[in-house]
Amino acid sequence: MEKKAAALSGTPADRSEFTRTISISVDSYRQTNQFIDNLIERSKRTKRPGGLWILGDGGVGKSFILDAVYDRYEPTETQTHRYCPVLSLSFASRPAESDILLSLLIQLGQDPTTIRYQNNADLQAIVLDGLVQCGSLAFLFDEAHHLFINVHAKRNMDRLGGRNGDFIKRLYDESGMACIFAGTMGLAEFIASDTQAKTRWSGTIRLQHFANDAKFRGLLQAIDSALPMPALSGLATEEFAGKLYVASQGNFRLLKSLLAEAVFIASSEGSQNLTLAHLARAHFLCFCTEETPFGVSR
Amino acid sequence: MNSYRLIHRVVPYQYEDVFGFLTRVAVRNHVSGLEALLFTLLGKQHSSVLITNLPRLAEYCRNQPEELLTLSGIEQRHSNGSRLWKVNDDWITKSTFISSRHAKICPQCLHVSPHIRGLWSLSLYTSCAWHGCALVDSCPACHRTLKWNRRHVCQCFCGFDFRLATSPSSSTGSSLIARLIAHQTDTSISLATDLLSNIETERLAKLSLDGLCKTIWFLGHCLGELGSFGAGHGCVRPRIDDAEKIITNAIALINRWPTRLIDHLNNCSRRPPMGTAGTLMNRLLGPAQHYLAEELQTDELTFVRAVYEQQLLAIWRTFGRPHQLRKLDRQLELDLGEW
Repeated sequence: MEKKAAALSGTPADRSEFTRTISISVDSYRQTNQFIDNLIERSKRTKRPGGLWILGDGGVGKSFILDAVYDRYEPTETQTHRYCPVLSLSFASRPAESDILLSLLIQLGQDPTTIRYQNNADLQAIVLDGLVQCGSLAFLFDEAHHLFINVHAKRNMDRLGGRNGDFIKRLYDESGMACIFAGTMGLAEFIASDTQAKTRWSGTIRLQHFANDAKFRGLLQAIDSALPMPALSGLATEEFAGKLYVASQGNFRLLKSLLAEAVFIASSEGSQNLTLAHLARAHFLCFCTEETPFGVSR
Repeated sequence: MNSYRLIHRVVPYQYEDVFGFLTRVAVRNHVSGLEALLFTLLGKQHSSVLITNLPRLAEYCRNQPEELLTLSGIEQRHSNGSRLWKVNDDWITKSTFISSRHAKICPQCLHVSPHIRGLWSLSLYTSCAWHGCALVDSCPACHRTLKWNRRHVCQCFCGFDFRLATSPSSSTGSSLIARLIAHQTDTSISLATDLLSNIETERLAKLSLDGLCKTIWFLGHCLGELGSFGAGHGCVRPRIDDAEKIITNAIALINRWPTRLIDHLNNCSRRPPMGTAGTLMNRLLGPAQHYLAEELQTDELTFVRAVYEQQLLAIWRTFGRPHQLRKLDRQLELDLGEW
């Protein structure tokens, strides 16, 4: 509530951004976070803490969960030490081993251009040394399908896992840190086929789009009370809920984008809450259609 | 300059040499070398670490600034252009006494603790005060001079571990001077010696580090080697062999103080003066005269200055009468004419 109060005093742009980053403790979110917290706790006492696969289509909240974990365990810097409980990596394409190691080194706070190494084994030893010093406990791998699935490989055995898969297993074995992977459903095939990966990181959660049911209304009600608007908008009422479901198809990212735009428009106008007209204009800005579930956007 | 910092914190030893400390920092953090670290820290190729660099150094290396104040070899520059170098708890005012680029080590000290002692960077510290052996300035394996910017403090570029080197024995003179220098911070070190009387040793022990170095330099180099070298030689930092000679000369003049100094000055006054412009006294004792006027003006060095000036006065008085120097001058002209 304090964060909401602070956001309410911000600009329309601030209020819109706040809406995009609202955390709603739906079952899957709560369950995943609880599992990750336990993993990180376990990393403190064992060299084989395990890991978690967060699978789901785009927009179901995988990256959102990883961002929330990173925010909870953000690095702290003192005059004499850097503490870096979790290290976050995200991939736009298939990375090389050295890319992964250098990214980790940068997150640990050291300039990679100053260090001396002759090969990846040297670099890995330097990173492992730094991980111990910085008290690191878990790796977060976003877009992990780029890590394990190589559609360009000629041999079938290289298409799943491959060199990167072996490297990540080695990194896990030698660092003793928990691994949390978030990726598309394509990873399910890799997990099923690779027993080494499945046995190392046994936790799996599949995030789904919301169905148009009571849970979705409950989510809307929670979002409504969290929105940085002075008054409630009644998002969970029949008038809004059905239309919001049609507009978002139960996709959490689309829903938040739509609401964030609507909050920007409403707060720019000085409105107390969101109306169908705000949502219609927001729908046009998000999806470029004038005919919207909320009416015609003008 | 970027916002990166090093990951691993290295705690400095008391009186550790600043470059030796940074070498250890570089090794612990896998940085490619001391010079790369200095470049990252100070932005350009630096030959010295200034006291104003310490906050940045502490920030980057994850040390407290006050921790780094215990390091030796840090330089301070004043607006009037004067420069000072910190060695242990004292400040040295002449660059000649600091030879951080001429690396020296004591193998036995490295065996006790693998770090570079600040005293080793003093030109006139040529022997280990704790182990009584001579310091080593070249690798016993490859015979190359030790590099100040070597990768490891205990290892030569050829891979030889200096801790395995045998320590050569030192001369009694350099051992005494080393003990006098080390005694400034470690009073448990014995100053017993056959070379000097107790009074003479105690007088030297009471001097500041800078005052002690200046006394040895004045007596051993300016007076002891008077006429041996051309102008500008005093700016050259002495290597171990040169420093040994200076120390031997200085101790010879301090022994039976002040008789031998007076004898030496008398001998100097009988030598033919330099054929340059200036007063006769400057032509006779030029470099020593200049050094005395510039560097030996502090109260603690009155004992040297007083003897020197009184004897100079005595020599000057003899110049009032027909002086043998004039005969020498003429004799020199005659000799040259015959040549």
